[in-house]
Amino acid sequence: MSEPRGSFSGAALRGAAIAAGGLGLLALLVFAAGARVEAATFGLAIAGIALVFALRGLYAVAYALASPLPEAPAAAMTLRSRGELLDERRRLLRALKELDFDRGMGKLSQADYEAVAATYKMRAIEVMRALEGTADLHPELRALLAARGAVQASAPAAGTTTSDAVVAVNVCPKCQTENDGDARFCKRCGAELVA
Amino acid sequence: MTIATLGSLTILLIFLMSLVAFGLSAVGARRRSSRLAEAGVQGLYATFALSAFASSLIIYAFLAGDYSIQYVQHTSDSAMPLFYKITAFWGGLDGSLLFWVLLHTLFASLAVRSNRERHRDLIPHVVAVLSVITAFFAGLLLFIKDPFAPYLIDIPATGRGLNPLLQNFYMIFHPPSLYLGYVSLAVPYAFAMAALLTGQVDAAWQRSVRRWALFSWIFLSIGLILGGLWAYEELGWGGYWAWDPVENAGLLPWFTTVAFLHSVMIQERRGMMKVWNVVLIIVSFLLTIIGTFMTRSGVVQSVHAFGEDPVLAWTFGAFMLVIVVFSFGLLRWRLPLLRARGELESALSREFAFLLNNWLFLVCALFVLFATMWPTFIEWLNILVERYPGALGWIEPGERMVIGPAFFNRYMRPLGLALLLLTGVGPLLAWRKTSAENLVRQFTGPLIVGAASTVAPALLGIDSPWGLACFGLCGFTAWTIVQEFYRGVSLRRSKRPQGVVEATVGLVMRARRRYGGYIVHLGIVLMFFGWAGNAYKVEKKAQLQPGMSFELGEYVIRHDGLRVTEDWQKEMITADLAVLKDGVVVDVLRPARWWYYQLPEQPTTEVSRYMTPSEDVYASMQEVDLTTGWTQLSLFVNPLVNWIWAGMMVLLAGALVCVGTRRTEVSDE
Repeated sequence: MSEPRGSFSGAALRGAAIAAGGLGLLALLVFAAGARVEAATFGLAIAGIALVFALRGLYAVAYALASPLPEAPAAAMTLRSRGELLDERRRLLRALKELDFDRGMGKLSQADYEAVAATYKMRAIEVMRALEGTADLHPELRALLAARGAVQASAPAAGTTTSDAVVAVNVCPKCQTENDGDARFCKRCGAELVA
Repeated sequence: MTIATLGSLTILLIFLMSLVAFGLSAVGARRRSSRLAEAGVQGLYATFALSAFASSLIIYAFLAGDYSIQYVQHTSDSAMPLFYKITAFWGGLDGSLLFWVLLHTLFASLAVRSNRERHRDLIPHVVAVLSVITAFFAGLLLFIKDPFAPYLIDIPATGRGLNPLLQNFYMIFHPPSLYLGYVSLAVPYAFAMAALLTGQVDAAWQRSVRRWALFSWIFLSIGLILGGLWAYEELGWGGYWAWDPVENAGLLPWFTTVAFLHSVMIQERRGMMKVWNVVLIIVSFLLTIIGTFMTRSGVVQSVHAFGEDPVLAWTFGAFMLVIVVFSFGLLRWRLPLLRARGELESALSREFAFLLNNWLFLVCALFVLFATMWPTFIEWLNILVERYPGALGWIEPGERMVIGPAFFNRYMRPLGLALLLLTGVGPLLAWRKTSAENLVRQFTGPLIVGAASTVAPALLGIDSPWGLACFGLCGFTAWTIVQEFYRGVSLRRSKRPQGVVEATVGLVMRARRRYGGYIVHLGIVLMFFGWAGNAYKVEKKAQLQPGMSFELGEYVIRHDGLRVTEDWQKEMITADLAVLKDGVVVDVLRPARWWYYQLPEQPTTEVSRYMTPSEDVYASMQEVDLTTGWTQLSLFVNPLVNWIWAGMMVLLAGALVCVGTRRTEVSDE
């Protein structure tokens, strides 16, 4: 389904080609045929471009109907969806910071802070994992499943222990920033934290 | 093929294409076929492309002066400047409906494009809802108000020209700005409906919707303020807001959008008010349709209404009924999914302040709506009684009456002040529950400033209770904002040593929504400060001959003579009025009356004003007799009025901070 939509540069290139063609035609009319250029001429030119655009839109509908798509979209991440995920990650991280600030200003109790922050963090972890493109399970989920005997507790689950660390606070020895309990490096200065 | 035929054909195509897009995505959503859904999305894009083509055709017709098209002949002439020829596109009913379709399809395409990966399941439903709305308006264009309708016989050689009142800078941008706000509200509505249809009523749909709602709200604000400026500068009655039905129509969705922007925060933080948020989105969208209906069908008599049109009224009525039944039916069906997670624990909490804010905004919206529609309602009852005597039993509907600005002001003034109070109180309260010591810590400063700013104007001789209350609340609220900034900056600086400016900028950029919101609040405070000036405005009518003087408050107005001039478009009579303060001429006002050759029976009033931060001296000319030199003038001293425009600028700046731009977001990564 890449043809009518095209990649961004392809669409831009085509647009530029159409615009250049139109300008060329206009120049030809003016200089070769001695036509008079006035506002209406430009209006007509714009209408012409819009017509091309409209016909292309109609073609795209037919094309989409005609091309058999895989019913379940493949896992391969397009550039666009990657951008959206990055966007979402940025927003989630900012929301977390804002929440932290709220607590600092005395507008939010510790309990509320933890409850809301936990949901944001879960979502952020999901997004980051999607960005990394790893198809394997979330470590915490793996640990849970392992406990129930559904999956063998394999190597990757051992390294990260995240289960009970959400509430604890880990103060950076260098800059005294409060980090989450499960953090291994300081979010401000990057120094390694003592667990 | 003429432009007219091609245009009508394109509109037919838009109509059909939107139905096709609806069908494809509805079936695609049902069968979970990504092929059909994709075709539906492409269909939506195609309706935009076709609308762009139709719009470019009508603009071409304006530029080329194709007077065989009725709409072009009615709203333009060959002598009009190029700029007005282009903007005449939305100068009348038919064209503005096409403009509606153009903007609607544009927004629909943008919204779908930027969300199609993130909310894959929602998209077919969104496309379906948006396409139905497109189909409705395209249908209106096709069957009732075709902007390309040609003259079949007797094609006129010249155009009639755009109403001179509308040939004004503000008037060119006021309608499109309101339109942008109106039309973009369809996107949140479509997402809300899609969320209900799919049952994915978590916070996901709101993330996509919040920015759109903010965007709509910004454009509604710009549109309202431009309308106010236009009334102030062009109509010459000394004010900027007269509760005219068309102005109200823009205000209604503004109220509900503000309410939504606030209550969505409660849902985010506390998981409450889910149903309420959906209701607000539905109501906002409905109000945009009602607004379009009120302004465009002529149902409500007003300076803007373009004439009675029963067919249009019935069509809109039916559409609105469909929206109500569909939306609320869907909501009822999904009610179990929308149960709240949190609950209200204390009246001294942020949630409760937000709740009050929401109620007040809704009350404002409903009050304005009913007061605006009341005269029309009475008239309908009269028609009913005329046709079916005894249908209402003993109820006598009475005469159609006019509800004037005084009525609106009487009720909206306390409501507005209550909202201003909440603007101050809300941000001071903590979520869930505010402790007693916190209360003292938060409220001491603002209360002192509030009291001081009530007493100070009283000592200066202002005795209107409303005015004093307004000044006091402005001081209170302004101080809460200052305090929030101050505390935020100190908190930042305590965590990391940095300069005050750096900390402030960092503060605003980091918590953009919150501090952007505070800046918006500051803008609101400034606007209220400007409105408070109404408490001591001076309003005089004067009958002057050249050489005579007139006392106006602290000023003296001296009539220095009349001038008659003309250009190719109009004849102008201008008065020279010297403005004296303490015997010194501070400015010369030049109010005028212009007679356009094309519309000599409707002279326009050109206002002139002397602007200072503390007041405007405002003069407009009502009647003039050239033989005797008698000039009838309306003279005003409007205190603090310029603060309203300044407040608006601050408000917009704050709103832009809230929206943020992609570029700055990337750069701070």
